[in-house]
Amino acid sequence: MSEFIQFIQERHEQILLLIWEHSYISFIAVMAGFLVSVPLGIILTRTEKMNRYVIGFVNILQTIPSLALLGLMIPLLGIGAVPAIVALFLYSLLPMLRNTFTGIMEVDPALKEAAKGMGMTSFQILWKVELPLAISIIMGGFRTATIYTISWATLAAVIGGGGLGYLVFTGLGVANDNMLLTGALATAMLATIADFITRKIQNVCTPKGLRSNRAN
Amino acid sequence: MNAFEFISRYGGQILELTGEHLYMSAIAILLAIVIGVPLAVFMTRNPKIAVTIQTIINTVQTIPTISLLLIIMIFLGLGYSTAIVALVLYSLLPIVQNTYAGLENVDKSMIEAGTGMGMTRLQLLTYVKLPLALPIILAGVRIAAVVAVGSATIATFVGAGGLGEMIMRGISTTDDQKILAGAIPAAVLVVVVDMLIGKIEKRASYRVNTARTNK
Amino acid sequence: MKKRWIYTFVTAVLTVVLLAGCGSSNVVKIGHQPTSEQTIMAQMLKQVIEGNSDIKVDLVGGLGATPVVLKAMENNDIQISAIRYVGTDLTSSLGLKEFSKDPQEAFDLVKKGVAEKFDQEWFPSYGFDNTYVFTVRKEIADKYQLKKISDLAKVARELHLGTDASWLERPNDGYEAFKQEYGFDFGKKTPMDIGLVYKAVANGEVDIVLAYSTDSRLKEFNLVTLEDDKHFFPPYGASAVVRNDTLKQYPQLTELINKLSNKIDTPTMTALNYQADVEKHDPEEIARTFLQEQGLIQK
Repeated sequence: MSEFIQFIQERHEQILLLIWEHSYISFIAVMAGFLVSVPLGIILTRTEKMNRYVIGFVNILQTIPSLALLGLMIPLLGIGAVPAIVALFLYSLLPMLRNTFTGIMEVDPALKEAAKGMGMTSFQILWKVELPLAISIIMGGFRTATIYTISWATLAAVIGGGGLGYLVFTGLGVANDNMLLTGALATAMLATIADFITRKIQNVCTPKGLRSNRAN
Repeated sequence: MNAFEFISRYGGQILELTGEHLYMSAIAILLAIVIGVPLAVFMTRNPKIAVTIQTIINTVQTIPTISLLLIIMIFLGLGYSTAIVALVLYSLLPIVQNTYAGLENVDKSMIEAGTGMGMTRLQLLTYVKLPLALPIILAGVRIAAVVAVGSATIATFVGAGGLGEMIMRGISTTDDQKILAGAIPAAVLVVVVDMLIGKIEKRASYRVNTARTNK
Repeated sequence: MKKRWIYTFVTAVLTVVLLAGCGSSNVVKIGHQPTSEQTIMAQMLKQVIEGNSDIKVDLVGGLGATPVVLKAMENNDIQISAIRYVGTDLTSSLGLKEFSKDPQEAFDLVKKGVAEKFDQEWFPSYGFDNTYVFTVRKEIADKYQLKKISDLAKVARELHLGTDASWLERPNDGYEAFKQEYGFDFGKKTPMDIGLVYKAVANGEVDIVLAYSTDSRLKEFNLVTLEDDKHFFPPYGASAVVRNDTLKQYPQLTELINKLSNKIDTPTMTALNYQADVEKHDPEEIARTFLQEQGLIQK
C-alpha cells in the first residue's frame, strides 16, 4: 500500500497528464458521437426503411477489432490522439443512435395524433412532444455511451495517443502492479465522475411532469 | 494467397471458431438479461442502492480486459466459463441502463389506472410496467448483444477460442487476410443476432401499441 | 408455471457454463501466445512429444499476455509454456528490478527462481535470443550513414522513435538505462502497440523502430538493424517451461523436450517466422518440415 502511494507521489505529474489526455479524448469522442447520432436517430424515425441499414452499419462498426480499426486509420490519420478519437467516436454511436430511434418510435401514437389534431407542425410535434417524452431514454443511451467510451479509451495508448491505457498496458507489460492499479483506478474514477454528471444532465433534461419522484 | 485458397485452407477452422464465438456470446447475452433486468427492477424500488449498483457496474466496465480475465481465472481457470463471465460483465450496462430508464419512463397515468384497478405491486410490474417498457428494454438488449459479440474476441486471451483467435493471429503478424477472416464472420453474427432480436422487438412493440390504442 | 420454466432455464444455462470449464486431465496441455514464433514452437513441442512417445498433447493458443500464461501454469490449466523469455520472466514472474546482463548468469537466476517460486522447470534454451534491436527505415540509414546505435547520437534529436510502451518503463534494459549507456535521447518517442508500429513505419510516421530480434517484419518492411555496439541489450534466450509434477508424471518428457535444445539459432527462428508471417505457411507445416529435416520426427 505504501509502495502504491509512493508510486503516485513520484509520478503525479505524469498521472495527471494521462488523466487529462484520457478525459479529453473520451469527451470529444462522446460529444461528437452525440451530435451525430441524435439527429441521425431522429431522421431515421422519419424514413421508412433506412433505419435497418444505418443501424446495421453502426452495429458492424462495433465489431471491428480496435487494433484492426486503428491499423486502417494510420494511412489516413497517422498516429496519436486523432485516430483514437475517431475510433472511439465510431464505437460510441450505437447506444445513442439505438436509444434515440427507439425512444422516439415508442412515444405513444395517441399523443402524436392528439398533437397533430391540435394543428402542430411536424417540427413542433418533435420538439414539444416526442423529444420531451423520449429524452430520458436518449440520455440513458448517452450515459451508456459515456461509460463505455471512458473504458474503451485505454485503446488510445496503443496508437501513441496517451491516456490511462499507457499505465494499464505498461503495467501489464513490465508486471508493475502499482502502475496497473493506478491506471485502472483512475479510469474507474473518471467513469464515476462522468456517471454523476450525466445523471444530473439526465434529470435536468427530463420534463418536470415526467420526472419520477424517486431520486435517480 | 487468393481468397479462394484461403477459404479452402481455413474455411473449416473459421466455421468452428464462429460456432464457439456464437456459443459464448449467446450464453453471455442470456445471462446478462437474466441478471440485468431483475437488477434494474430492484434498482427502481431502491433508489439509494441504485446509485451504488450503477457505480459498481460502471466500475467493472473500466477494469482492463486482461486484469478482469486474470481475476476470473482465479475461480474458473482457462476456457469458456471465464470468457463468458467477462462478457456478461461487459454487456450488463446497456441492459440495466435501458431497463431502468424504460421502467421510469412508463406513463404515470397507466400506473395510476393499474393501482385504481386494485393491482398489487407485482401485478403492476408484470402487467403494466414491464410490457410498456419492453421495447426500451429490448433496445438495451440489442446494444448488449452487439457489444457481447464484438467483445467476444477477448475469449482467445484465455484459450477459449472464438473468432478472436483468428483476429489476434492476424494482428500479431500484420496479416490483414486473417484479421478479415475473423472480423467478417463476427460482423455477420452481429447482423444475424440483431435481426433475431429485432423480430422479437417488433412483436413486442406491436402488442404494446395495440394495447395502447385500445385504452 | 411460467416461473418454473425460468428456473429450469437458468439452471440449464448455469450447468452448461460450469461444465464447459471442466476438461479431461489425461493429456498434457501446452499454452502459447498468438505470435507465429510461439505458435511454431508449440507445434514443434507437440510433434516431438507425440512423435516419440504415446503422450497426448493439446495446444491452448492465443493466450492474451504473459500474466495469463503465468496464471494458467499456476492453476494447472496448462502444464507447459511453449516459450518463455529469460528477460521477461526475471522482471514479471520473479519481480526483479535489477539482474545480471550476462546471459548465463541471468539464465541460472531465472531457472533457480522459477523452480523455487513456482515448482517449474526452466529448460535449456532453444538456441535463439529474442531481444530488442534498433532498426531504421532504409532511406534514413542511407541518408545518415547509420550502421550502429552510436551513429544515432548526432541525429537522434531529429528522429521519431516508435516503441512498445513496456520498454520505456523496463527497469534493467529500458529507456532510462539506455540514455545513460549511450548518452543520447530521441527527438520524439511514441509508445504504441508493436504491431501498429510497423504500420506506422511503413507509412513514414516514425523513423526508428525498437523491434524484436527474431521478427520477420524487419525484412518485410525493409528495416535496417543497427548494431548494439555497447552491448546494451542482453541476448537472453528462449526456453520451454514445464510444471515439475508433470515431469514426475511423464518422466520421458525431459528427454523429449531437450531434443529441441540449441537446435534453432536466431537466424533460423527469424527465417521460420518469415515463412509464417510473410510467405503465409501454416505453423504446423513449418514445424513438421523443420523437425523432419533435423531428423527429430519420422517422415
